[in-house]
Amino acid sequence: MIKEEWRMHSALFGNKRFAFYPLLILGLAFCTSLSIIAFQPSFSLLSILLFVHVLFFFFGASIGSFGTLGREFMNRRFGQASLLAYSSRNLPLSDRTIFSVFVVKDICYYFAFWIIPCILGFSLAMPIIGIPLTFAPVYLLTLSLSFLIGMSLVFFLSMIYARFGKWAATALFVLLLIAVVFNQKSVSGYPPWDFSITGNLNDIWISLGSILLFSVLALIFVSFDFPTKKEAYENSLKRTSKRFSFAKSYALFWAKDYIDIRRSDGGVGKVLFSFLIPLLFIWFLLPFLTVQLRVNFLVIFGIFLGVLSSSIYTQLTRYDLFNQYLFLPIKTSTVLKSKVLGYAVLNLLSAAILVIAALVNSQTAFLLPAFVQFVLMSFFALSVTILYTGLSPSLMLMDVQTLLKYIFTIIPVILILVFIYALGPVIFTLGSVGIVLVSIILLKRAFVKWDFAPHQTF
Amino acid sequence: MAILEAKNVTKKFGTLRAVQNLSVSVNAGEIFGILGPNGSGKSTLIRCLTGQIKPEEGSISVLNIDVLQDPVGVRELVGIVPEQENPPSFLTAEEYLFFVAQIRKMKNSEKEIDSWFRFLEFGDQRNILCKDLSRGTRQKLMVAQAFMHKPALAFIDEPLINLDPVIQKKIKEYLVNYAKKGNSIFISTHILEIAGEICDRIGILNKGKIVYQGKPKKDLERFFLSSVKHV
Repeated sequence: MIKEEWRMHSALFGNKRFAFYPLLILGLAFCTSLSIIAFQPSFSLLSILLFVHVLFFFFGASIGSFGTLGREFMNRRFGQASLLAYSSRNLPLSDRTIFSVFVVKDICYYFAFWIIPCILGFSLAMPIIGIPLTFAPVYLLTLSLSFLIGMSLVFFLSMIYARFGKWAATALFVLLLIAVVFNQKSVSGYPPWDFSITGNLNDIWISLGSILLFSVLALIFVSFDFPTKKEAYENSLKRTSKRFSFAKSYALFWAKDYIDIRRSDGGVGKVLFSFLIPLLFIWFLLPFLTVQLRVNFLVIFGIFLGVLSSSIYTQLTRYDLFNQYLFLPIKTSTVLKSKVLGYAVLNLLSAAILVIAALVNSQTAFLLPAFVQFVLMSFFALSVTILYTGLSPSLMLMDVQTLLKYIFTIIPVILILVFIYALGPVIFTLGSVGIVLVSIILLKRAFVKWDFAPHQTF
Repeated sequence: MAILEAKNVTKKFGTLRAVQNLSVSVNAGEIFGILGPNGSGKSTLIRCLTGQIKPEEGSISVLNIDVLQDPVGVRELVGIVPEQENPPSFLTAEEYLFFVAQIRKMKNSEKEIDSWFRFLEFGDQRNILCKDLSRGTRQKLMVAQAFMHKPALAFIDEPLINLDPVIQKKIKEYLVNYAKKGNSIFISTHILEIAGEICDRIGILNKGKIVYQGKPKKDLERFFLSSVKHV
């Protein structure tokens, strides 16, 4: 299974280059940890550390959910290829044995590739943030426990889903959430985090007990017979294409994108959440940063909104594999152009968020420059994403080389946008025109590049 | 008259020469079968001939269009049943055929789509999402999308492998009648009976090289095995 996981990830994310992934995670964790300095005047270190523990909990939860419910993704990418975890029917092994090995495999794999590099990156930054390095082993323990609690909880919820359907799993999750929200005391005493402060051994036993309880229950009642049904629909592609007829020759592709998103697991909600949740983080944290740096909130928010908006392109391409078009008379650039136009329309949502941010923060006077910053950043980020990843941003941005190229192309432009705004309207206007021109050139290069690129087929 | 002419085509994947200095031609109204063991280069050859991948060497002309110069132009005129039947997950079978018909700019496509669903006995499967269809049904769907626009030349890669005997028979008869109307078919298969039954000419491919090109021999199995040196 370890081999399978490695081969799956390396096939998807840059072959042997994927081996450098832990180094990248270490570097990113180090840089992100340094940003804590900017928030220290606004938040106590303890609150920041609680936030880090909660992040590890959610990371564990996301790994657990992909491991058990990721078949839709796998089938989209690999056709009918299946994970070993689903092969208990044709091997002389019980579901329980396979699931146990699967859990151990996930723990080993993600610890090696994510958790340990992430904690090492955080540990390297600790002396700079003001945490003694001697605490590193403590955080290695507590952050690992937090990850495992999230992962085992989702394995448990997956079992409930498989046994009793998604409504039972959702109801249980909501109940747990309500229990936590209405019992602030238990949140502030989140055991792994609490141990990192108090050193109370009971927190370790509670954490281990939770992990053990969720895992054992999941293991006892494990089932891979997820409720499935053959879904039937009337032909709505024709009707939807007509609805998008204003998009002319791209109406068909827009209709397909719309149907794909609506019918996939999570549907439109998944698209919105993948964009809105990081945006909420930015909205919440940015004011503290802009106060420290003495820059205008709305203008910087516009830039970050532009970067985050480019994730909408990832959602638009999530259901497209170009090998599904290869035998049809169509160029890659035609599909890409339909995505660019769709992206432009969906950016109206981002523009509306910017207006709301201006109103809420009483900064309407800065709306115009913020809007220009947003459009410039969004267009540039889109061009770069298409140039580097074509129709597969969700896969190719996980390739270490591509991700580094992306980061080192985007960050200078973020800085340029901040500086040209500070240098006055003339420089700002000239700089903006320059960025638009560069974006157009990159986009044109991207269309040519992907029309002639050999497409990945699995 | 040759409507497909490939000369000295070579396609490499790293150090592997999947197709080596291969020349092949197909005439109008002809069913040409390319036979070969697994991994002999049949699918790679079809992908080269239809402009899905670019060979390193050689020239390919299909319906008087240079495939290397205008691959999209070629795919407008031909039909292709790919090796892997993998239509978009979240469209139904009917929506997928409608999607292909729109890309091919077909007029009155609904009648044609209906007739294909009847011919291939889809029943209520036409409204099921492609991701939920069986492999055989997906294979039928790919056959329908390749022939819907009545191409002068169709490339079909292992077209019958997942199908039940009734549908296999129907498709074989369809292909023979289709060729009788002056259209051509380039079929890749490792099922020798199909080649012997419906092909006018065959090519035997082994390790990327054509080792025989001509009429199907009477004792095709023995001839095939001796050609690929499995005996």
